[in-house]
Amino acid sequence: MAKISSETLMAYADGELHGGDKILVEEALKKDADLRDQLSRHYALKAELAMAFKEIDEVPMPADILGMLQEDSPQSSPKDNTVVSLTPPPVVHTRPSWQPAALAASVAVAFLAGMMVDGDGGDRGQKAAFTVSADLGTMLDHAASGTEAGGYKVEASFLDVVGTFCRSFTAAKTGGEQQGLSCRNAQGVWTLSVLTPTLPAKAYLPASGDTGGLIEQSTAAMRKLSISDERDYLSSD
Amino acid sequence: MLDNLGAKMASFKNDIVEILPMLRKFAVSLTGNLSDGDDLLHDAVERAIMRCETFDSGRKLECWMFSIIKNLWIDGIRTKTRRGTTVEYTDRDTNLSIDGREITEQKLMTQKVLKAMSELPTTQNQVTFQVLIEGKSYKETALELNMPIGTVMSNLSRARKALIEKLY
Repeated sequence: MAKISSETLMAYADGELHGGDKILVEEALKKDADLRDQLSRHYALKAELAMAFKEIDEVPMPADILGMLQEDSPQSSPKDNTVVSLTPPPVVHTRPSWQPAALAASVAVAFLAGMMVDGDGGDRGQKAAFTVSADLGTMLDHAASGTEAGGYKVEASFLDVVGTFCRSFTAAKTGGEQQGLSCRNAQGVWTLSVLTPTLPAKAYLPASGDTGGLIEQSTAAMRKLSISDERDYLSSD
Repeated sequence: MLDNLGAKMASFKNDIVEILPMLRKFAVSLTGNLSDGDDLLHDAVERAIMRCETFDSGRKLECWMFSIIKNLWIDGIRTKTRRGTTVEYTDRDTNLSIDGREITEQKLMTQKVLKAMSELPTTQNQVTFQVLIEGKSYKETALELNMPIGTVMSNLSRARKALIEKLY
């Protein structure tokens, strides 16, 4: 009778043997009780492992892990899970000079960078500020609400509780529209506070499909300015 | 541009979500319990998002994620205090049986199995996970772990021997 090595028996248990090798093991098994005992332990081990790890599947995935993999920030509620929220800026950037770069590119960078900073292992909840592009900054500085230019639209103006001038805007792009909220800091730099990116079909979309919730939430405690009131905050130069 | 980058990130995240249960099990196989496994998985997902631009789309995402998990584990980057109070796996109601004694026995066995898995050397653990838990062939495992089939078999054989000795 051919000697069956432990690795060959293991391969048989794992369904890796075929043809003559498989027949050889099966012939040996018919005659060797010890070999059958070893094989039964292999099967028992597979069954125990399968059972143990199957149970893991039955425990819900932690929300914080799923939260990181949704479109928005980990802190947002399920209702808001289609947006990216950036906290008020702890970092001051110098004001960008006018450049021909498209707003979309800078906003995208802000979005992606924001996700990465958000995922940093450091101080949780501490996020870097992202300035808007020069194009948008200029528009937010000068244009009245309702103004559209270059595919972007300034939607409305607000003052937060400490009097910071903030403006909501939209960026109409192929395949969807992005909404954002930007606030002008003491240095006159527009920092991005909220951005709602376009979502792919497989993303976590709320049933309503509403992606504007965070803008509304973010401005809920702010005072909305009328067209005439906002003129006081717009630059005339 | 915004659409492209946003869609790329969203697609990357969605791809991770699809393999998340498998990644979780791998993390647990290394740590030996669910709460530490979830911490490890959390760190791995966080790192993957941070470094998504370095992911080679020609590579299999699960292999990349396995590497991140394994490296984090080896490096000892685990934050056990992050979640505060955690409920140990063996305390959870798995609803596998209506018989209390049977549940207890199964929980103890599960705890024993996970602990035994976590005590394997990392390479043996990884091979065992791929073959015995994910049901992959030796050839697939060899390709994914970038090692010869003979090495897969020898690692698997040693792992099996160790597990059988510990469990039976």
